[in-house]
Amino acid sequence: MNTLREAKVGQNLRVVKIHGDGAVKRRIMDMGITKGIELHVRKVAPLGDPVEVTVRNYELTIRRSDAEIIQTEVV
Amino acid sequence: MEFLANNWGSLLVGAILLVVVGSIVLRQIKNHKQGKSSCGRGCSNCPMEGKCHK
Amino acid sequence: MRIKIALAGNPNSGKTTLFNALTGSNQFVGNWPGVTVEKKEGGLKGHKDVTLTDLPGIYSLSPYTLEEVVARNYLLKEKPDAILNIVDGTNLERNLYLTTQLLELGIPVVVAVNMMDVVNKNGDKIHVKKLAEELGCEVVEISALKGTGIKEAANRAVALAEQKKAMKSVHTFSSRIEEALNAIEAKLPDSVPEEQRRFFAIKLFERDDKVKEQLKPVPDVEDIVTAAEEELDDDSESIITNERYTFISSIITDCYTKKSKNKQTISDKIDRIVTNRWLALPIFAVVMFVVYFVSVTTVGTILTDWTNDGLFGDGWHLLDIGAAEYADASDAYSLERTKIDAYLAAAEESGIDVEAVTEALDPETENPDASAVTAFEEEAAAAGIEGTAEIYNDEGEIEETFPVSLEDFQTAAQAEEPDPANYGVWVPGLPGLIKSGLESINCAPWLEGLILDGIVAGVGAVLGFVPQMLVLFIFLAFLESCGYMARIAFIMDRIFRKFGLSGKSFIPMLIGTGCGIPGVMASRTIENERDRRMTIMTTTFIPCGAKLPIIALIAGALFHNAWWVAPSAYFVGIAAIVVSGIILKKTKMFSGEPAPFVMELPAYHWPTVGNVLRSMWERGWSFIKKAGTVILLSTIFIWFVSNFGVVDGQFQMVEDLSDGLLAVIGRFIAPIFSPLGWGEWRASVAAITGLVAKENVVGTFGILYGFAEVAENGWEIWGTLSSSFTGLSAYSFLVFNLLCAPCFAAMGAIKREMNSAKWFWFAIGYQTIFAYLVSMCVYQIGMLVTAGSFGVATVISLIVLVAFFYLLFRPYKESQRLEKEVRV
Repeated sequence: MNTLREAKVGQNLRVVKIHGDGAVKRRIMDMGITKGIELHVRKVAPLGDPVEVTVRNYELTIRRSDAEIIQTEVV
Repeated sequence: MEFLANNWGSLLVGAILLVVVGSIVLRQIKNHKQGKSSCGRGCSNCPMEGKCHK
Repeated sequence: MRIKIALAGNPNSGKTTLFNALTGSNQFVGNWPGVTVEKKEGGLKGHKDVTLTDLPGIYSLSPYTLEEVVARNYLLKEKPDAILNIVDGTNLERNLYLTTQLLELGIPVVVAVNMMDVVNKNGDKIHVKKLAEELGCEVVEISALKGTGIKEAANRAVALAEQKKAMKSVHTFSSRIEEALNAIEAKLPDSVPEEQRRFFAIKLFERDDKVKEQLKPVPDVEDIVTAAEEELDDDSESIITNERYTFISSIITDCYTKKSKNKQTISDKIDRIVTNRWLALPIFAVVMFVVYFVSVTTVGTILTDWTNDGLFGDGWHLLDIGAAEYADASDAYSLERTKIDAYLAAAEESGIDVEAVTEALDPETENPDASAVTAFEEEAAAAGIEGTAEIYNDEGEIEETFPVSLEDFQTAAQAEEPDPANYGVWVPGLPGLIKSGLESINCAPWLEGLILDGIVAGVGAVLGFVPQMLVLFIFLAFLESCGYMARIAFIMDRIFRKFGLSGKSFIPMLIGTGCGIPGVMASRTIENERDRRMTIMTTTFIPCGAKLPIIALIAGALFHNAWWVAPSAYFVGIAAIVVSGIILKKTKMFSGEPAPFVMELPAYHWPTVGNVLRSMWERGWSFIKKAGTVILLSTIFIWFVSNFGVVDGQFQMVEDLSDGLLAVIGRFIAPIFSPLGWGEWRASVAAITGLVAKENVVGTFGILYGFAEVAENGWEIWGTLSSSFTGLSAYSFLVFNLLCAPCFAAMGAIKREMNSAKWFWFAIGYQTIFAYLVSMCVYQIGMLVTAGSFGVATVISLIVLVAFFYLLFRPYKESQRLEKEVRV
């Protein structure tokens, strides 16, 4: 299973599913990361954390622990 | 009278000092009452820009 | 008839700017009851009787963060007459997500699309009419920053409020969901007003537990919800979230046209290196090192030497005119003095009494006794004294020796000390000028003392560091405006996260390098309460501008400008923040709610020279102003208290400062600081005066160590100071002052931001105790390592060290749900 955690700079991904439940999942979805949406990976910080993606036309920074639950596939 | 003549220098300096100190104190109190910023800067260049005080 | 309008929107959507623009100075800032979330209310300008309430920045009306719950409780209970929803035009989709929720509340909504100036600059287009149609509400374009459109937006909101018509949301979800929602709506108690029924239905569908508190009795809709979940293979919350975004996606193509998709800009290319996985932290360390090294230790020192020696010292040659000649004459004179000393030493060794002649030849002696010199010369001639002069080089090694005969001595004795004023253009230093001025008008000696040894000494010492501060400020201003500092927040996030803060907490610390007060206040941008408190507590660990003189002084006078001292102060601050964060996060009072991290990195841009200079000047000027006010008053006070005391049963002015009142108090306090290596009254007193303003530490030293009595060569300025401290005790002193509680003004800011006396005292106490323990460990363990000294304090320090490590590395777990009770 590929998640956002393994993402590399420059990749275009599509969100397959968001795992888990509760506040973190809700928060990620509130930010616009929902099933089927496209993400473009802009930056990966030192130690892989956090990751900056372009989603719904804006740049969002996501922590590694949050990125783990976002299942993706390469577009 | 003699005292004044002999010590006019000190009295002058002392008076100046009192005026300076007094005005500083008064200005600080006035600033405080108005709730002016204690960081002493103008807002235009500060990253906080207008967010910290009225 | 009071109209209430609520201002709602995402964080960083420009809500605060809009609020300020609409209310001007008619604001009232406080806190929502029982929580640390800020509540801002104000009167709308240009309208009578309209109150604008600024709700906390939120991404949605979910029940997970304090801000969200506070906002929606307000909207449901207080029922404002209209909502002004501010939407960031450069981030439309995500912002509209909240909008869809606000539209369901039944309250009339006006959407104000902000940052239109940026949108237009990017060449993007927003089709406002279409958007209004699709959303079913009014939409206005504004730029809160430029001030365009805001009056119209406010007027529309007021108009809607006056109409008192309830709003019905037009957006619908997929039919399957609508089916479920209708079923739930039917089950709602009649007490729920018509316009809010949809909202409650949706919340119940999401199993929102906070809403249950407001619905009594709570209808049982579990079957409906579970059925939908099974059919759509997802949990109900996600279903609704998806539905909202699906709706937004469906309308966005009609309403929004983006100009181009620029995948890799120049900023991105720079970032590939600067925020690179491996290089980013080392690059940051090097950058900050260079900043501090150059400002304090190199460029800054050159300038400060001039201020200390020249402006506040004897004087200086204007533009160095005559400086070279004077230097030559001075060197020649020194050579003659060396010969004299050598000869006198030889004479003394042979048993001749040289006391009288030494005093006669001393340049400081007012009326030298020429007969003493003649008498000595006769004696020396009779004894056939020959001296040997030794010339030392900079490293203290003997460079050259030569004999000194009686003739050499006689010639040398005639030599006159060169007066710098005779060479080129000499500008005498301030103390000299003031002194002669005061003497010429026969000013009383005590008053003269107050001015010279008190004010000039104290304030002068502080002002002496202005050049270094200006250099530092230029650097910081540059880094800020070019956008580099924002990247640091991004990079540091991982590290900050490790101890419970987010990269967003870095911004206050960044501001804190100038002054801690706006730094503490900048913590307001952090929504998470726990993070905010922790940030407030640790922001003042970063050396602020006022602490710079202390750093520069210790680095200069006590470490002879060793290259590592000044930058180390900065890193000590960062380390303190990191360590505190980790330790505190693991304690019960800070563990808690989950927090999202959203950060927008602005593009890099070449800062304008004007901006950088202005920023530097502003900070520098505020520092100078402070010197002329707070510090001036402090030095007067300190001078009085140190120069007056009880001598022989009488309260009068003292000869020796160690007899003064301040010294007495100081000696009483000093033992507290002896485990730290500087349990001496002057140092203790200086640290205490630092509570009023950190610069006072230097100012107090200036008075107590006689800054105004400047010696001949540069380094001796603080000569007496260096005799009171060892390298280790000096560093311990530096660390203590860096980390302990900040100045009164900053403490005031902490108190205001914490909005709770308990938290305020906790913060101050924590900082001071932390500072004490760290400096103690530095000194004690340093002594153990360098001198092998061992005592009770060493043992305590070792225990403290072990405890530190334990608190740092023990395991920890973060909780998932919001535990707090919220009443509005």
